[in-house]
Amino acid sequence: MHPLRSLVSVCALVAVILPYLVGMALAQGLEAEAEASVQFGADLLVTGVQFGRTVPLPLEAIKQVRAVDGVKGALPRIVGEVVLGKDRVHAVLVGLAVEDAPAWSACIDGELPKRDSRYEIVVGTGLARRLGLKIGSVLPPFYRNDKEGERLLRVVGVFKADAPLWQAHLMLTSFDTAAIVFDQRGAATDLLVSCQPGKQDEVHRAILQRLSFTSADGQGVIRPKVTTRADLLVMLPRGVLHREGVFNLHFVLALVVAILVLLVTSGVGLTERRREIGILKATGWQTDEILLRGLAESFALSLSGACIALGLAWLWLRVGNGFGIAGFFLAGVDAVPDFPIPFRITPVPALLAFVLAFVIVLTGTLVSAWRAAIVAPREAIR
Amino acid sequence: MATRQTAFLIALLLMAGAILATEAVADRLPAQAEQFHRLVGGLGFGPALDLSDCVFGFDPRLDDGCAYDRGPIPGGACVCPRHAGSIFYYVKTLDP
Repeated sequence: MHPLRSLVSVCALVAVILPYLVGMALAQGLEAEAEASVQFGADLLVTGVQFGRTVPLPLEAIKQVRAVDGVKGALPRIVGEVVLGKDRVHAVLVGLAVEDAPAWSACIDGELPKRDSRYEIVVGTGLARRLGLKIGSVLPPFYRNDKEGERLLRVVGVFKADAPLWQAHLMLTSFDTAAIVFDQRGAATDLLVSCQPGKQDEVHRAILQRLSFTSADGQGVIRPKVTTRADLLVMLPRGVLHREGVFNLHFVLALVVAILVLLVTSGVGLTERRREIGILKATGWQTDEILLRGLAESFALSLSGACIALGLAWLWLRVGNGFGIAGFFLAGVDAVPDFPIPFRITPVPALLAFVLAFVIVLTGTLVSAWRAAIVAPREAIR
Repeated sequence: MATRQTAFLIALLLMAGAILATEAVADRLPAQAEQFHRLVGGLGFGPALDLSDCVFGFDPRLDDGCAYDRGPIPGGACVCPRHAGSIFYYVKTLDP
C-alpha cells in the first residue's frame, strides 16, 4: 500500500469517525443516566396545567392527591432557576422536605439542610468551583422578597463529584427556603407521588379524571398533569436510527473530509497507481483480481481508521474526561468538566463507523482501480 | 513489510476488542445515582445542566416541550442549543 496515501486516508477517516463515536458514547451514557433518574425517581410526578401550559400547583393539592386510593405519599417540590454572582451563573434551585431523607445523604459531603433551619443549602460541584464555595461559605442574597426580605444563605454541604451530572449546577434547600427565594408561598412546581405496588395506573387515572385545583386568585382552575415512569422511558431515544440529529450535525464535516479522502484515493498518486496496476496486469493479474486487491486495501484502511478512532475516543472520554468536547454536547459544561462525564462505548456505533469508513474509502479506491485496470498494460506502464 | 502491516492491523483489532470488552463489563452509572435521585425525587433527564433556555432539555417532567423545536423541517429539531447538537433528542410527552 502506498504509505502517504494510506496515512492521509486513515487520518481523514479518524477525523470523521472520532467525533461521531464520542457523540454516540456520550448519548448512550446520558441515556443510562436518564434511565436511572426515572428508575429511582418518584412513581408519579404531578404538575399543573393552565392554558395548556405547565404551571405550579397550590399546596391544597397535596391533601387531595394524598386522599386518592393507592397513594402512599405526596411530597411537594419547588424547582426553579436562579442566577448567581456577577458572572450570572445559572443554577437550579430545588426545595423539598429533606428532613425525611437522611438515608439518601451519602451523595453529599457535609450535611443536609436541617429540618427547622432556613437558609441552608447544598450546592453542586460546578457551582462550588465557579463561585468558590465550600462547606461553611455564605452566599450573599441573590433573590428578591419584598415581604420577608433577603437573607444570606449558608452552604452546609456539597454534592459529591460522582453523583449524576445534574448535581453540577444544583442548589438543594428546604421547601420553605425555596418558597422564600422565589417569593411563592402556597405553591409547588410539582408533587412527588409514591404509590402502593401495582397501583400506579389506577392512581394516574384517578388524579387525571377526578382532581382539579383552584388557582391562587381563586378564579381559575388548574388541571393536573401526571407523568409516569412509562411515559419517560418511551421518550428515550432507542437505537442509533433515532439519532438522525447526529448526521444533521456531522454530515457536513463528513462530506468535506470524505471529498478529501476521495481526492487522495482517486486522484493523487494516480500515475503511480496506474503504473503499478499496469505492471500487475502485465504479469498476469486480471481486472477482477486487481479490484479484489483494492477491496482488501480499503478494508484494511477503514478497519485501521475505525480502530484508531475508537481508541482515541476511549482515551478522550476515559482519561481526558471529554476535555474540550463535553461542553459541545452537554450544555453548561466547561472545557474541563467538574464531574465524570457519562459515556458508554458500545459495539454498534463502532461497527457503523467502520461501515461508513469502508464505504467512503472503497468508493474512491474502486473507481481509480477500475479506471487503471481497464487500460492496456502498455499504456498504463508508460 | 506485509507481515508488519498485518501485525499492526491485528494489534489495532485487539486493542478495539479490549476496549469494547472493558466497557461492556464496566458499570458506568455514577456511584451515587440512586442516592441522588432518591434524595431529590428524580431530577434531570436531558443534556442540559440548568434551566436556562430550555427547561425541557434539563428534564421533560418540568415542561411540555422544547420551545425551540421547529418541527420536521430539516434540522428543525436541532435549533435548540440544549439538545446536545440534537444527538440526544427525545420527543414530547404524550398528551393525557
